[in-house]
Amino acid sequence: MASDNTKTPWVKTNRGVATCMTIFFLVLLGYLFSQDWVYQTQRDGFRLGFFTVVAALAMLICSVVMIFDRFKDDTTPEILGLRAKHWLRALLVLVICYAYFYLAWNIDFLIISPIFLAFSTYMLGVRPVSSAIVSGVIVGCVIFFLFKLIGIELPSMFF
Amino acid sequence: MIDFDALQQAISMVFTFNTMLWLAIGVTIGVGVGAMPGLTATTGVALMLPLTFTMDQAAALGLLIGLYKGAIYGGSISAISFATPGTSEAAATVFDGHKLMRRGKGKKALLTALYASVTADFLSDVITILIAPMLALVALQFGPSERFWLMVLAVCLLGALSGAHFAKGMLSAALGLFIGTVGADPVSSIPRNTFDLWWLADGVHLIPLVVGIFAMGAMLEKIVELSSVKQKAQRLGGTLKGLFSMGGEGLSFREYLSCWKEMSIGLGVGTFVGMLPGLGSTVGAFLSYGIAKQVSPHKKIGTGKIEGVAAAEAGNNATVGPTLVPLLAFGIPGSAVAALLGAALMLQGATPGPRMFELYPALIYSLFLVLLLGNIFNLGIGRIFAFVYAKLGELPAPLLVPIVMLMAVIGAYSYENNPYDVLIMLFFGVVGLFMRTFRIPEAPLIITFLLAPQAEENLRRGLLINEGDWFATLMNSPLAIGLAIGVVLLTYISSRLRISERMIEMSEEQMAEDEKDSANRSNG
Repeated sequence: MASDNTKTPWVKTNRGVATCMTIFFLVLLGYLFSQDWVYQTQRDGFRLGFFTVVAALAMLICSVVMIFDRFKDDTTPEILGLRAKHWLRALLVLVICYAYFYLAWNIDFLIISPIFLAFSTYMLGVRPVSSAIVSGVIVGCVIFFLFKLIGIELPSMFF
Repeated sequence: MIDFDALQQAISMVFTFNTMLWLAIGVTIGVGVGAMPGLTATTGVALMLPLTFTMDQAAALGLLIGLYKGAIYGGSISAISFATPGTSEAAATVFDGHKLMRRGKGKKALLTALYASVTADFLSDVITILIAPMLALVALQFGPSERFWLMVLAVCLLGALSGAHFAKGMLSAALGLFIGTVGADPVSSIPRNTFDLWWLADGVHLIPLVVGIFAMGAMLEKIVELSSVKQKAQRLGGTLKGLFSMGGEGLSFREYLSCWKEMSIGLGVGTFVGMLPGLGSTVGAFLSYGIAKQVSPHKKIGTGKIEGVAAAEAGNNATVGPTLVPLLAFGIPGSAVAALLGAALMLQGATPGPRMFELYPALIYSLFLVLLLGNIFNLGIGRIFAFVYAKLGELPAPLLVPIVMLMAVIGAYSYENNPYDVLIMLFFGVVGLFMRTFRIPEAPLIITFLLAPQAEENLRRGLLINEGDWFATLMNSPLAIGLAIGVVLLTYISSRLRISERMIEMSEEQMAEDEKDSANRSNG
């Protein structure tokens, strides 16, 4: 782990991330304690929220420990390189993935998958565009038939 | 005692065309997964797990165990060929393997890696087969409170040994417990921890969780990595050029035998490390390599010697079988892959644990046979295609990422045909990305998630027996008290001794030493 107090922004150190997590877990605990099911005692004497509260408390304790332990000023190269745009890009990818899922299962797997694959490979840097299209079509078809072979039916009007 | 009827049944389950085919496919995919930097054995097994619920038991085990074995060996291929270990387990192989490659002895290094991997893997599987049933007999004597404390002990051990930062390991384990409590209470069916979302009433399913954390999380990280670095346009045309072109000196039987000491060290270290929850095959490889270097200074391991490759590869592959020992004997997975194999067994209707030896003896024998047969397939496929796989490391990541994401979506959905599972998988993809960037180990999360229902079941059974008395439930025998004290001591000692941190420091020192040696030689 990198440790350079002079250059690392506080929020990107273990202490910074752990502080954010502590706030989150405090809110989570507050939410849990406001729920009725947490206090419900079962016939065996077990409280329904026992494990949930233990887990949330353990997460809170671990994040508080991280604020004060000897790694507190450390960071990771991955966190250092991470910008808000990367998180946005990751969220965009997730939206595209869900859109792909919705379209593939409502239109046709064999039509949507090659488009998704070709688009994604092109966006990630595969050139020329013909390589992205050809690889998308081939991989899409291979995956379709591979899943068919093992008995998982993917939606297609062609087969 | 050997149950010959069950053994016969297992033989008829395993020695079928179907099982052999899936075992071969598993090893083939596994070696490829291992050879490609960015994909790990865990990612591969997580992606293939959803496919196994349509298969029969032996075929499912064949696919996953074959993949696991293949991936652990496959990491050495790109480590030797490009000094880029396909998996972290193969990082120690780079030291000697790539130097051999640069001297034109790549073929010798690849064959040493293969033979050392298969030898140590096979022998450690035999040890697993001998030890697991004995430990299971012991575990059968445990009551609910002992089992509960054993699980808590395992979680503490996992948290302590997974990565250098104890608090991060424990945070991951606590998160696993938290996710494990989402859904209806198993006894009263009252919804809990669902955040008032009706589609969480059934809980978080294992497949969307593991696919999200391991596969989608890894791919999101790759996308971030690709977008951080200014990428040159990747041309696919030249990728497959030069396939089959690796020639050079092979490995003689005498040379193979000359590595017996390093392979034995790898076998011993790997078997021990594999059985301990949390350490994993990377530690096995580095420890074995470090010990071999200390034991035989005259062999000058680290300067491009086959003995160094043999020690590292024997050390990582020898963990494969023993990682199943805690799973089979106590129902406690020792690593993320063991947890996924346990999940595969559950999908097939068998809960891993000591009772499995009584309830499903044929399945246990099938698993043992698949473990042993996987080595033969690994040897054959690795021997024939190692040089083809060496070129897989050159496959551009932009091609790989969308394929894995597509497989992740299909895998998450096809398990229960539930669109919410896709949403859950995508959500855990973001969680996986966060864990990777903040270096929180994922294994404790998955293992605790799997253990949570069992721990709750044991605790509640104990409460029922003791009429709701918590103290009597938790401290009802000397063994339970001993285990409880063990939990406290282990948590304290492991946080003081910093075992994992020292292991990581050791491997970093090894790498630094290696770089220094290389620099000295180039100057000299």
